[in-house]
This record gives sequence, C-alpha cells and structure tokens, in this order.
Amino acid sequence: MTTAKFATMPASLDKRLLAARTAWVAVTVLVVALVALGVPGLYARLIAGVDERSVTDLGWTLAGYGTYLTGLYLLVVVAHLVIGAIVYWRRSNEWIALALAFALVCNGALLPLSLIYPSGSVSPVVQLLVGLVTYIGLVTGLSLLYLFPDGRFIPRWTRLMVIAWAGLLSFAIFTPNSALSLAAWPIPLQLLVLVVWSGVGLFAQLHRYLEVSSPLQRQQTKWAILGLVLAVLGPFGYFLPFVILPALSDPEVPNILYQRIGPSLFTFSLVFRLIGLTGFTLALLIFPASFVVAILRYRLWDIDVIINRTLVYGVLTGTLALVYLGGVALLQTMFYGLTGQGDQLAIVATTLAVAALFNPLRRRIQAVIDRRFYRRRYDAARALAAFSGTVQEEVDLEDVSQALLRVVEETVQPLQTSIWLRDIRPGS
Amino acid sequence: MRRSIKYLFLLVASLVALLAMSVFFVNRSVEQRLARTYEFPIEPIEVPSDAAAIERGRHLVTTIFFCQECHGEDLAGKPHFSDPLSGTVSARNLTAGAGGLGGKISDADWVRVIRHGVDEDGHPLIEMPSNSYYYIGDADLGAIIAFLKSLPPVDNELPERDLGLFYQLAILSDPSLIPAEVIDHTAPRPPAPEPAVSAEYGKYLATACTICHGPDLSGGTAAGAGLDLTGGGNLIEWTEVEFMHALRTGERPRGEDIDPSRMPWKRVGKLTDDELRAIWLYLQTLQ
Repeated sequence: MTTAKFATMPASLDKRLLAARTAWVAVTVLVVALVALGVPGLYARLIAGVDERSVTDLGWTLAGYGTYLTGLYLLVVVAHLVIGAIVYWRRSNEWIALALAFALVCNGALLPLSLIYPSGSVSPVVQLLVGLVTYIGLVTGLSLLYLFPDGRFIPRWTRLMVIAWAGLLSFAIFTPNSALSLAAWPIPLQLLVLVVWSGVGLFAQLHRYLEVSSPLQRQQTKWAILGLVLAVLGPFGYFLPFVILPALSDPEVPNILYQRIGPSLFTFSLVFRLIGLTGFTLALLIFPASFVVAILRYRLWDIDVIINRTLVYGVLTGTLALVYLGGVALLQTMFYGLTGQGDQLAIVATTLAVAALFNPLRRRIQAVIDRRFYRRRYDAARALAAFSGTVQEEVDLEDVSQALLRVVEETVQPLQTSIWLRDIRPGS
Repeated sequence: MRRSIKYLFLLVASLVALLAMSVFFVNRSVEQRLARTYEFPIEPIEVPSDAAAIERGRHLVTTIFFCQECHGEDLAGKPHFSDPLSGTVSARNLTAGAGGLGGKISDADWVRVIRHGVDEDGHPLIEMPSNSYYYIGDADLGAIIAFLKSLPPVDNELPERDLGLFYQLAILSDPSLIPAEVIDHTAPRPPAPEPAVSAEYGKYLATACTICHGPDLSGGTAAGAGLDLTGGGNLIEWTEVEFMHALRTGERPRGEDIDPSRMPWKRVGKLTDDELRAIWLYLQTLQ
C-alpha cells in the first residue's frame, strides 16, 4: 500500500507526527482512566435502571445482570483498544494508521462513556474530557471514511466536508446549547446532516474503489470500509435501543400494576431488551473486527502476524476462562451432590484440565484462524501435496493438465484459467 | 451452494410470513375485543355531595383501593408505557381538568367505569381492576364518585391508547386484563357489610389486596408478589399489634423494613384502627 512513511517526511511533518503519536498515548490513557474509574458507577447505574422483579422472574440476579452488561461494554472497549494499540505499535509512522488508532480507541469507548457519564450529571472537567474523547472519535471515524486507505482526499473537495464536520461537532459537543450546535437543531435536520456526511463519504469510497484503487487495495479495503461505515453510522445505533426497545423493565412501574398485568409482559420485554442491547453492543465490534479481517486476510499494513497472535491468544484465554468457570461450577455441583463437599477438589481438577487443554486448544484455534484467514497458505500446502501425488500416478497429459488447472483454481481462484502447451511435433 | 441459499431464503421468507400472519392475527383478535360495545343496565347509585361522604370517598380512594398507584398522587393520570413494542397505555386523568373525565361523564358512567371496567362509550377498559371493585357497596361507590367529582381540576392530556404487540400478547394470555370480559355484569351483588370490627368487613376491605396477594390471599407467584397472608403463611408468628405496627410504620416484627415500592404500606397504614383490626380478623379466618 502506498502511504507516506515517517522516515521520508520533512522535519516539520516529523514533529507533527511525533506530537500526534504522543497525543494518542495521552488520549488512550485518558480513555482507560475514564472507563476504569467509571466501571463501579456503570455497574450501579445498570442495576438501578432495571426492574428487579423482571430480573428475578428471569431466574437471574441483579449482580448477574449488572456484571453481564458491564462485561459486554468492557469487551467493546478492550477489543477496540487492543486493535488500536497494535495498529499504533506497528504503523503509527503513517498518518492514516494513526488516525485509525485514534478512531479505534475513542469510538470503542463512546457507548460506555455516554452511559457512565451522562451529560449534565458530572463535573464540567469530566464532561470536557468525555467530550474530547467523543469529539476525536467522531471526527477521526468520519475522516477515515474520506481518507482511507492512502490518506489522501479523493475527490479533493471532500476535505471541506471533513473540516465542516469537525466544526459542526465542536459546537455540538463543547457548546451544546449554542445556535450552531447540531444537538440543538431539529431532529430531521440532524438526520439530514448525518446522512449527507456519511453519504458523501460512501460516495468517496465508492469512487476510490472503482476509479483509483489497485486490485490489491480493493481487496484490502473492502472489509475495512465496512467497519468504517459502521463506525460512522454507529452514533445512530447508540440511540436505537432506547427508541425501539421496551422500557418496561424500568423500576418505576408500581407493583400493583406489575402484579395486575402479570410478570410475563415485563419479563419478555426485559429479555427482548437484553437481546437487543447485546446485539447492538456486539455490532460495535464490527468496526475493529473488519480491520482485523482486512489485516489478516489481505495483509493490510503487513501486521497480520501480530493480529494473528492476538486473536489466537485472545480466543484461547477466553475459552479457557469459560472452561475454568464452567468446570468449577459443574464439578462443585457434582461433588456436593455426591459427597456434600468438594470445593478444593473441583478447583484442582478444573485447573489440571485447563492446563492439559492449553496446547491442544491453542493448536486447534490456530488451525481454525489459519483456515479462515490464511486460506492460501493453508490450502496451497494441501493442494500441492495432493497434486504431486496425482502427477506421480498419471501418465495421460490431458489428465495432468486437468489436475493442474484444478489445483490452480482451488488455490489462486482466478477468474479464468488456461494452459498453453507447446506443440513439439516435428516440423511445427 | 446456490441451492442452500435458495432454501435458506425460502425458510427465512416463510418464517417472516408466519410471523407477520401471527402479528396480524394477534392484533385483529385484541382490537376486536377492545372494539366490542358492552350494554347492560346500570344500577342507579346515589352520589352524595356532603362533606362526610366526600371524606369517606377520599379515604377509600387514597388507602385501600390504591387508585393513586396507577392514576398518580393527584389522580390526574399518568402514562404507564410508551414504546413501540408495548404500545402507549396510560391511566386516565380522573379530574375535571383538560384531558380528564371529571365533569364530562355522568354518575352512571362513573359506575360503568369503576364497577364494570367499561368506558363511557361502552368499550372495555384495560388494566382497571374492576373485577375486584365490582363488589364495592353502593354507598361506598357513591362516596368514591363524590370524591372524584370534587377533585381540583388538573390539566393533563394523555396520549390515546395504542397497544403494541407485547401488550396484545399479554392480553391474549390473561383475559382478566380486560375486566369487562370476566365480570358477570348482571350477577347479583352481595350486600356490602356494615363498617365494623368484623371478619366480614375485613374481607370487604381486603378485596383489592388480592391483586398482589392472590385471589385467596395465599401469596402471589410472580416476582415481587405479595406474601401469603393466610393462617399458616408468612404472618403466622405475627400478632394483631405487630400487624398494625407493620402497616403503620413499614417495619416488620423482626425489624426488617417493608419495601414501599412493593407493598404500599403508607397507603394501607392510613386505615383506621378498626379497619385494620377488621382486616386482621379476616386474615385469621383464612386457612
């Protein structure tokens, strides 16, 4: 991919990039601090915002409900942070990669921060810091849609769109009550702005994809663009659950009304809301996930090895943690049923099982990820082995040609394949 | 591959069609039930206007019949739900202000609403616990209507009822949510007992308690439901004094607090000593 490198930049640009890299570290520390400090408040807010009767009716506890949703939001933050940190670590000498690192770190925290620090309920300083993270996330998110993958504005006039967007957002976030604030405009006008800005970004990407990008760039960027579009449209999604999902699990419903109507309506609503929130929250992972696919599958920025390892060990850690927790719970229940005790035994047995599982599971996960993302390497090895066996057994030229065509089609997957054979007849 | 996609598409399309048909059926079914017009003779009730009767009405409305739980402290109504899946449902404004019933409906309409769960146009109400209020005596009902008519007007225009799918499903699963359907509107009503410290009067007062504590007061099964108030139930070790103390102060005999968001003890605690004793006597008769 053609992008300007740090080493080839003039000194002034060099300093600017250095400042931007330092700023990324500062913003990341800020995001981590804001989220970490706000986790207890988020948990308490989640618990206070749900009807305990419905949670109980579901066979759950308030603690379980709060832990589940808190964990879900943290998963989004951590996934964005990890991918952002890897991109920063390996490619922060490129402006476009640095912008992506900013977008990942800030966008991943947008939803949790908006829940942890609702507007008007925190000190002005905290409000300003949260606003700063939100501003950076929304500006870099949309800018990427205009700049990705080579960091140039194509068409050139689209730079005005980004400048205008940055201006609009600065009023909306830092002076929300001013007349120029997007937040103070009528809803249809707000929607129009969002549709126009994301629509032009999509147009720019489409134009770039069809007219400018090389075939490799097209492969590399198609996944990343999916993530970018979702990152830009994400802010719409934040409000969607609150618009379409039922509010019946609010604790304000008087008990006499709750009992009069019966719990099924409220419990069903809570289930629906949980499913909706889970879906919307997990959808936020598409932004980092699409870049992971682009990096792994199409070698975007050549940092696939790092992502590969992160993915393998991330999935491995998660799976082993689940196995450990599930195993301890299951064995404890079994041992208690059989002997009336067995806390220690269950923990020891599960720990041993997890230790034994480590290597086989790591190999299995590695194989699955290689099969999904390293198709060429994975298939080529198998195909070549099969082809060499076929060639050894075949003497007919036609059969060998067919086998060769098949191998090429399976491994390279070209649009069209043909074999040209030199005619060696005498006189030809 | 293409065949698989085709089958998958057909499966998804069939499921969507099935879902759409189900939603249509549920909607039609519930809307038809709510569009039904109920016609039955309304017993004439004398609605007094003297201060004592109005005070009696206020006492009943603000204590044992729990009207403010749904209609709000000022009885000017309040929205219960407002989201696309559950719909828009509000408890009506009972005052004479804008959007209210007061001053717009006749005494007979009030009887129709409270006792029969049917609105002034003859259409069934939802949520209104008229199946419990059906047994309110004529004198008390007259006092309640007198009090409601005396309420200071509060302007509160509430949105029209518009049931969402979830609420319609709830109605399908529980017919009593349309009380007009489960009430025998022409059945003879037992005469209301005279106010006294008696189990009979206690039973009369405890009618609305069945909403949370179950039809036989043996406790509800839902989360947050009321306790088992029968002889062998949760009050087995309580004395009459402790019962009255708990309802007056929200403190159980062992010192635990009663959650007012679950058990509206602040309302019930305003009953007179004799009324609470009557209820206690009634509870002692339950097995």
